[in-house]
Amino acid sequence: MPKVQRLLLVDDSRVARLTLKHLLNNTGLELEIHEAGNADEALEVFQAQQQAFDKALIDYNMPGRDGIELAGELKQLQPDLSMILVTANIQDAIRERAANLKMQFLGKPVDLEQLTQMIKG
Amino acid sequence: MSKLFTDDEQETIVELMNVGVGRAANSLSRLVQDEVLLSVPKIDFVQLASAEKTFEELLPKALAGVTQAFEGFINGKAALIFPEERSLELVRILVGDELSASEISELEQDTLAELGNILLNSCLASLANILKREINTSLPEAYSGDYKKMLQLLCNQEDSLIMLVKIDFSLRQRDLQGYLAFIIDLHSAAGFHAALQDYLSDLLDQ
Repeated sequence: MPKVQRLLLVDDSRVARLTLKHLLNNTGLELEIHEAGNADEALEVFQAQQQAFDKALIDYNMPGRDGIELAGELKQLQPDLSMILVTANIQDAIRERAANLKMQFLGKPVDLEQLTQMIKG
Repeated sequence: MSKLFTDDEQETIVELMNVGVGRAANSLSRLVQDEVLLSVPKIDFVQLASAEKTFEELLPKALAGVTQAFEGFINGKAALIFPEERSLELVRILVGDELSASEISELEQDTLAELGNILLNSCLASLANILKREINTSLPEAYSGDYKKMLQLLCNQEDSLIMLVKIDFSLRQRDLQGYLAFIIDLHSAAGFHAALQDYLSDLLDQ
């Protein structure tokens, strides 16, 4: 039986989370999704878990700390955490900052095939 | 007024906005599963006072949409605008038919904000990438009201030079039109000018 992947999904927009969850449910993968609406909530969810997360999908532009700041904090807590920056801000400068943290980059609107490959990988 | 930018620079702005809006249209097309028809971007340089008249002539009476501020090598605000009566239909297209009317209504503001976030960022990021500069965008804010309220949201300074880049778009199979508008602050015109000059110099050196 395939292992269930534990995902942390962080986006301040409820619609963006609904959209992404809808896509994730169509990847055909076994996923356990936990949600947060900002960096503080994400850290709370992260620290309340007994089991480690396999992946975090993080929006860039959020109230308070942005997605890259949050990724830096999560990396401190779990250095091997695989992270994907999911953002409409497709500037090269943002891609570079994500790459510096070894984050993958996924532009919005999210492509199902690309998302599936990233979650599998 | 329009001589703030040379003819070459103005032509470059139109071309860059074309590229940016093309990216945004591609994003919208994927979201609504329909072909997006675009007008050629039209640029007008106007003062706040004359902007009211322009907006009154160009835009529907009741508007809904999203504004997003940006700062970096240029500062200003961008807006995605729809006729207000089409707003719920747009939300329905985006979030699907399976939700109830009350759920769709509840999600209206959030959906418009996310749509604006995607489309406006596509344009602005494309502009920044091509000009090898950086722009920071704020969180998107949904609004509804008339053109005067929208202008107040877009222009918070009396001396704003408004570079109004207006693009009409429509969906091929659905009765839905919208507009994108970009307002560039006068105080950042120098940064924009420098970026355009660098871009044109690079092109000429090739």
